[in-house]
Amino acid sequence: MSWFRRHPTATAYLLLAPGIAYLAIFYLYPTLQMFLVSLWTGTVEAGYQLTFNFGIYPQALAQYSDHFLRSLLYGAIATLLTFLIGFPLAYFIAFRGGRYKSLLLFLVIAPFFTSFLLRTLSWRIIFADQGLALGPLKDLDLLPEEFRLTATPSAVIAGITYNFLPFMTLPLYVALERIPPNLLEAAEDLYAGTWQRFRRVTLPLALPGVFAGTLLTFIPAMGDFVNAELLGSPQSQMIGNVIQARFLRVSDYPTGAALSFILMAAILVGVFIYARVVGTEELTGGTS
Amino acid sequence: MRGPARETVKQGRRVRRLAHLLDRWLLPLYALLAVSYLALPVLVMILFSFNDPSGRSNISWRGFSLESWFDPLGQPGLAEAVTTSLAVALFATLAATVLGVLIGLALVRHRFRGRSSINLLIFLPMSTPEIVLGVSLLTLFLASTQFAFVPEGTFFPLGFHTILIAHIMFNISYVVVTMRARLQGFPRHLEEAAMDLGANEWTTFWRVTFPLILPGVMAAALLAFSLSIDDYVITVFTSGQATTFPLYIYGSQQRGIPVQVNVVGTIIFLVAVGMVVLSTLLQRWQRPDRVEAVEMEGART
Amino acid sequence: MYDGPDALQKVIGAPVTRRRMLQLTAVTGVSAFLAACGTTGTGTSAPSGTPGATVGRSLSPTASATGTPVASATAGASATAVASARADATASAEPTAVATRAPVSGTFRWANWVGYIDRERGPRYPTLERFTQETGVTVEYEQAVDDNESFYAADLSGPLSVGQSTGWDLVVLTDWMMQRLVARGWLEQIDTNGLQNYPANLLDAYKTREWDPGNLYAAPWQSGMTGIGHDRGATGELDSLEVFWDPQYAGRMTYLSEMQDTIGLAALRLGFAPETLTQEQFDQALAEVARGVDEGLVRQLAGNSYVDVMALGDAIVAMAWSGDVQGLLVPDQGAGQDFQWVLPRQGGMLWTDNMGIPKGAANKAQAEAWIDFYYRPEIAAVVEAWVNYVCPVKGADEEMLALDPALAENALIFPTPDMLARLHPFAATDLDTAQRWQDAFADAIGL
Repeated sequence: MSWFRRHPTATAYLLLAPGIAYLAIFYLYPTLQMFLVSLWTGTVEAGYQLTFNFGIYPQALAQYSDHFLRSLLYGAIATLLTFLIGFPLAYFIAFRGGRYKSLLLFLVIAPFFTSFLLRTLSWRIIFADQGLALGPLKDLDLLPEEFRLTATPSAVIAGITYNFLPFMTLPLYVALERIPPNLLEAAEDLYAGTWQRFRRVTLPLALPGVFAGTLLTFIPAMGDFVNAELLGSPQSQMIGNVIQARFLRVSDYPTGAALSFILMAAILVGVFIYARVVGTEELTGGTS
Repeated sequence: MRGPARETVKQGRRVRRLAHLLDRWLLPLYALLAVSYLALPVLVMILFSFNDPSGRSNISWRGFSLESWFDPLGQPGLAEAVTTSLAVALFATLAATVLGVLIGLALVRHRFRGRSSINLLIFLPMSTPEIVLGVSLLTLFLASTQFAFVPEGTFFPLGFHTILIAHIMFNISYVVVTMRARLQGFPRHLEEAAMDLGANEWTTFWRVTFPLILPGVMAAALLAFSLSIDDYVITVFTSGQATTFPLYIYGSQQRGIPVQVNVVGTIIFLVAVGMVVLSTLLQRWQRPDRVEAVEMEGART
Repeated sequence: MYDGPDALQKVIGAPVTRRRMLQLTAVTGVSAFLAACGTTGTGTSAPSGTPGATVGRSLSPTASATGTPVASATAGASATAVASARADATASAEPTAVATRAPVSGTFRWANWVGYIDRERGPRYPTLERFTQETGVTVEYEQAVDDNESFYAADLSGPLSVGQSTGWDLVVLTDWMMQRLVARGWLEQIDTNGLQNYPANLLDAYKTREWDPGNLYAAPWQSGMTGIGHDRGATGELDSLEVFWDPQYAGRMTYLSEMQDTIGLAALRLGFAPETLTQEQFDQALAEVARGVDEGLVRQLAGNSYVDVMALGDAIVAMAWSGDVQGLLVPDQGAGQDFQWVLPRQGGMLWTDNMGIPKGAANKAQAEAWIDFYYRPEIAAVVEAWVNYVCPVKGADEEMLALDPALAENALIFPTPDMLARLHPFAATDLDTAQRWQDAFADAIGL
């Protein structure tokens, strides 16, 4: 018997070592480093020093509370919208898809093989003030001349919704697809009406998919800044835009790092609360 | 049946008819609308790749022209950006797939302590917003200049190598999750049979295990590749002077989007779609009975 | 032909108070180069007829000739004395011979803004090709600069802060950014020994910049103006900065994301002089900008991309750079678009972009050869005619008119004296103040 078979645990650790080490160095440690950078004082040119300036946290939070709230709000609305739009779609594919399930799934995912920047820019063209969509409506006096879709919070939310729709639809589909049809038949046999069947069988069984989809949508949505930048106005800037400006425009690293850390911490806290509700194994998908 | 029960049944029938109507017509119509909504920007992107390139920016339609298709990389910096994107995606996919498959194998097939922590560690990068991933790596690279044990110039200034590091990092989790899904129900008895027949570990791995996990590995690699090719947020924080295709698009939307950008985007789209179609066809040809199962798992990723 | 000194004379005739002195220097600066450039411009902008290149960058008003007494040349005296001893001392320089330095070959890497040099479909750059032909030096030309700050953050500050080379041999950035680089010691000094045309052919107005005495670090590339860009078909004639706070255009106007431009125009509207902006005046101007943003008047703050927003018809009024609107926007005649650039009657901003050699550049000599090449009037004229901005090179005006007499009518290349009187550079503050003002501005615009 070879060494590997005699030491299965050691083998496991050996297999894990390179990847876990990589994540430790380039995920875990940078998170700590980001926290340290937030405590720096100085400038790019003159150099930085670790001064343990904890005061930057309340300062940054107070200064950018608007942006945090906006990110929260836009993220929440977008997640809700992805659910409202995605659920019927997932339901259709799972229960009425038949032979075309794979094709339909493919059609849902395929648009995302293109650059999301190009797709977001396309929305700007589609919804230009005098463009294809709005132009004719304005000509027919169905819309006031000053009406605009781009450079509004609605456009930002719509953009986020669009970009994350598959992230909600697919987990919903997977969950719905797992529901054994004979369960629904049994419910029908027990005189449950259509709505009742839906409410008491389908929906509860789909909940894990709802949880997964919500996480997969809400978390990136909160940190998004591309939609706000391309489709938004100065009043709809999200916390991601501020962080980006701090690093790539103004070179104010400590504030940017602090904001980033706050964002990450807030999300992790939320996720852990979620995990307690749903159960860690479900969430992290661990095997027994 | 008389009285209330009869009413219920009548009501039930009306509701059933409504539900039936909903089911039969409204739902498919809705699905069609939803899919069209998803496809619309892509169609616009493809359409505008045929735009007349005479203007500054590819933002209004000027007329049909195939000119940009004959010279898809004819903008300064575009060829370099595309090459960088492909190179980063290729190397990142290779590295992340190797690291991720190893982790996946360990997680699924072995018992060890600390499993839940490892699961958590794999899960965390996926639940961190991309901007935080990018920022934290940037701070690591910035701070590395102050570490004595890091030779100067390793991580800072930023460039191709730092982009690569970042891409490998975020891809590992996705590879692990994909592999894990597909490794469930792996027929270990086949391995044992092989070894009982005298094969050593190495031979068993390459001739029994690997071919069986290959579809999963390919799926994970494909996912990693597509994530890497289109990544903007993490890349913008870790790229310094280097440019990838998404960064090029972003820069050009400020300077004026050349039509070639749409052309390259369309080409990438067609290639990606083509690969998926090809791999599906291959699977159907190879193992028709496993197609359903594979597609289910594909849907889950 | 306009005679520059006339305007100067009128200003000098007035009693000279300290404020007058400062105004005087500003006018002197621009009218001096006006004199050299020559002009027969009309009051409003006129399309130049040449295919315009694009201006892809956020430029900001220059600090040239601000705050220095008229007779300031002391700082640059030695350098200019040497230069004028070498070159022709006459005001109008004749086309000079190629640099008498030892010939260089090789290549250099140049980061410039988009559309800032003459270009043909290909893309080919005729002037660069001519340079290569005559000197044997090839140019790796990249339109890598979108924005001063982001180029600085992405390409310069990183390597330079750890003493490494940036990989660029020549960069083009606006005055205030050059000032920052000079203060940090992050630019190589241009070795003018053996250079025939630089700084000999540099207009005098640029020779009195406080932060670069002797013009040894920043070689002016182009100057430009910030004013009102608008779709005349939708707005009619416009001429006042009030338009940027007019509810009639709410949601259909853009401001510039460049602090110096936006604050400068806001200050002008309030009656302040941007070149002597005090903290109080800055605060008031900033409050106005914030008001425009908060009240939803401003659709977005843009760098170059305001051109796209206008092209789409999403914005009909924009704070705009002079050359952009000329050459970038192709009116969609079907929609009745008619893009114009106008210098507001309250005034507009004047700025300069400069060539600089980052520290540690490997091909410094080659970059210097290019600078010398560009400062030949006949070369600068070709570039100018294409780019539609204001030239810093002596004698280029005559060359340009020889190329295309119609360009004389182009007030964007040859601003009229009336325009010059209304153009202002932005105050050259110390770096700390500049940083604070940038931060305050970022806050006001929602970032």
